[in-house]
Amino acid sequence: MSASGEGRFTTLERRCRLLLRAYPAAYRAERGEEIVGTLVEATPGDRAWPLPRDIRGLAIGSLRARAQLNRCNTTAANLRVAVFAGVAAYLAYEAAGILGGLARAAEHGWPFTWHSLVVATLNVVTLVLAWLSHRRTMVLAGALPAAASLALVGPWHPYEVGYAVTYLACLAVLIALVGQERPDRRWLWLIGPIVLAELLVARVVPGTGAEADVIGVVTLCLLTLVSIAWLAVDARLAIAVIVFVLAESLPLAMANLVTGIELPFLGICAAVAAPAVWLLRRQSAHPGRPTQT
Amino acid sequence: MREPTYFILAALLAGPLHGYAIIKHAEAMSGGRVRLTTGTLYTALDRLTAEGHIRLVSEELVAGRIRRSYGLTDKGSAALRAEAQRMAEAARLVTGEESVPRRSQVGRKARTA
Repeated sequence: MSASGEGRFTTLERRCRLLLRAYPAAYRAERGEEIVGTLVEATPGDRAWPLPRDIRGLAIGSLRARAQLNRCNTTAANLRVAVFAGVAAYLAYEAAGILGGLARAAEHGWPFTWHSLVVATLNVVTLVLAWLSHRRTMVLAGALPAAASLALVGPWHPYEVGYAVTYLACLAVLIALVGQERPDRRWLWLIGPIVLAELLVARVVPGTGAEADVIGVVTLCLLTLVSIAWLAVDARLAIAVIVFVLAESLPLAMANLVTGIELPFLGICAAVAAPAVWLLRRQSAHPGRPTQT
Repeated sequence: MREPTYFILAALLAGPLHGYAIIKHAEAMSGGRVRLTTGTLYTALDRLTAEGHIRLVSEELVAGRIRRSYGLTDKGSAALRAEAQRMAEAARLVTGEESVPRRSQVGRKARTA
């Protein structure tokens, strides 16, 4: 092979590997080299990129390979992963909100309570421990901010009661789920934008109110759109987003319990959750259906 | 059985083949009609392996990359022949002599229903 031919081959191979990154890592480890070899053979000699039809085929194949991942787990196991991710996203969001608010208060010389910093830090520690499946230490780390929230926040307002109830419920869910199926690192991308948006709201946006609302709503809309687009491949993302939205809305719903202004919103969430769970059931392994690799 | 699956199995009738050879054989056998993409091929190979229709026969290292060859299993061979038989019978309904009694049987069933 000539030097230029070797250069083309290397470039083509590199680009094939780049396209292959659309596949799940485990699949790439098993099949990657083989697929790259076939792609290189199937690409005409004068091209530096695979044929458009091969690129399209890889995109579809990668979506199918990702959809197959769920079929290794039962519906209950997939549901546990989705709920874990949703609850983790909510706790991270709360911690980011507190930390962002503290940073802003420190910058402007506003008064702030130190227990908030402790609560937020313990929140983060609880999450990390939950992710690492250290149940006992996680319970301890989670109980402290729960106690702090209950004892130090006051005077009691319906929103704060709702917040405390939501926090305790999320903590209980995490405790129940730790040690079972755990979301892998891929799920951190869900937590990432939520935390970033919350920090952005607290740290960058001048003033409060409308600007903060816009960032929050835009982030949530984007997440919702992505989760809807991803429904056919993996319904767990939509369920995780619904869990997050429900947890985030619950304190407000409890504060407005009398007017019931949040109830239609919660009803919509529940209505969207039903088809998502139905889809997840179809995407999961069933005792009567053979699993496909 | 979908057409690409049929031609993948048919390509393996003569013996084990690796991925690119399956693509070329399927294209040649179908008169250029079935042009499998690499992504489609490996999705189908995964499914057919899971269903027990094909199996991994050999692995070799070519240009630093692994190349796997796949062969038909008895189950895959039986499924392919059953599909060919089904299609042949369906074709005879339109083109062959045997189509006449079969059509009348269908008509009789329809009348007695």
